[in-house]
Amino acid sequence: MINLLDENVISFIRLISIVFMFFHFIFGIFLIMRVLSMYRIIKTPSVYLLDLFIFIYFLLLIVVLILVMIVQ
Amino acid sequence: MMMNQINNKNFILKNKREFLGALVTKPKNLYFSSLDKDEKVYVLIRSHWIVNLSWIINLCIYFIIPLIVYFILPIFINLIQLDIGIFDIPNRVWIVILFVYYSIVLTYAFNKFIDWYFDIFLVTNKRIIDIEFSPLGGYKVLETPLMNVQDIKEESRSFLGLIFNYGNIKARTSAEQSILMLEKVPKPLTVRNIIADLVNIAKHSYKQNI
Repeated sequence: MINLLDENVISFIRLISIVFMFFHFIFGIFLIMRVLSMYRIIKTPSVYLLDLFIFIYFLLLIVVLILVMIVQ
Repeated sequence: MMMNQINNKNFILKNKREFLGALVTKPKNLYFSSLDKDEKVYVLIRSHWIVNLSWIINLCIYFIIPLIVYFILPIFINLIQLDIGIFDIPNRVWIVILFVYYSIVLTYAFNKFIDWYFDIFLVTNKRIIDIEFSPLGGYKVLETPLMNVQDIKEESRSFLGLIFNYGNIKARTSAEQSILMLEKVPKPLTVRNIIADLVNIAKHSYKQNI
């Protein structure tokens, strides 16, 4: 039976989380770049709220990535 | 409105904004890359906000899944008497997993939102512009001069469309009988009326110039 307290299992969960979060971070940056590239074509009046959301989203991605890496 | 009663001077439209900017008349501070100097944007249209309801419901479900797991999993594990030490995993590991999960949920919401946000129709005094955006793919910009619009059709077929007042608008153009489709537009009656007026103005001023 699998024991989730086993060091190997916890290390594996950590490794999976880091790899997964890294690719997720890349994907998030890709989405942000897509939005910023659309600004070259069209900027609508309510775009400042979207800018704020993008900033918060970007910060959150960085925080979660760092959190995943530092938690032992 | 009759063609001979309307011209550029008496076509007055006030700046109005519907919920979440789904319909903005006379938008201010709007930038569009290929807008001419003498071109005015009269209407900015997105699909009605109700089309976002399906992914917002999904989002709510994804948000409460960890809570459901938190309450249901212990009952399930006790029921089948499975001892895998799941409750002994340190809290910090759970927190990390939770953070990763919620950041993925947020990305899902962001992806869906920008998919809706950048699908835009612009109606100017010269043309109708349709910007189709796909977050994971590219984008497409279609435009039809108002001069080429032959007739405009408005339809609201769904039950939700009748309740929330949204529908489709089809503008048939003379060029190879192509149809420009504005899907799930809020207040379709108003939008059709504005487009019809602008088409009349464009054709009228063209005839005057001849």
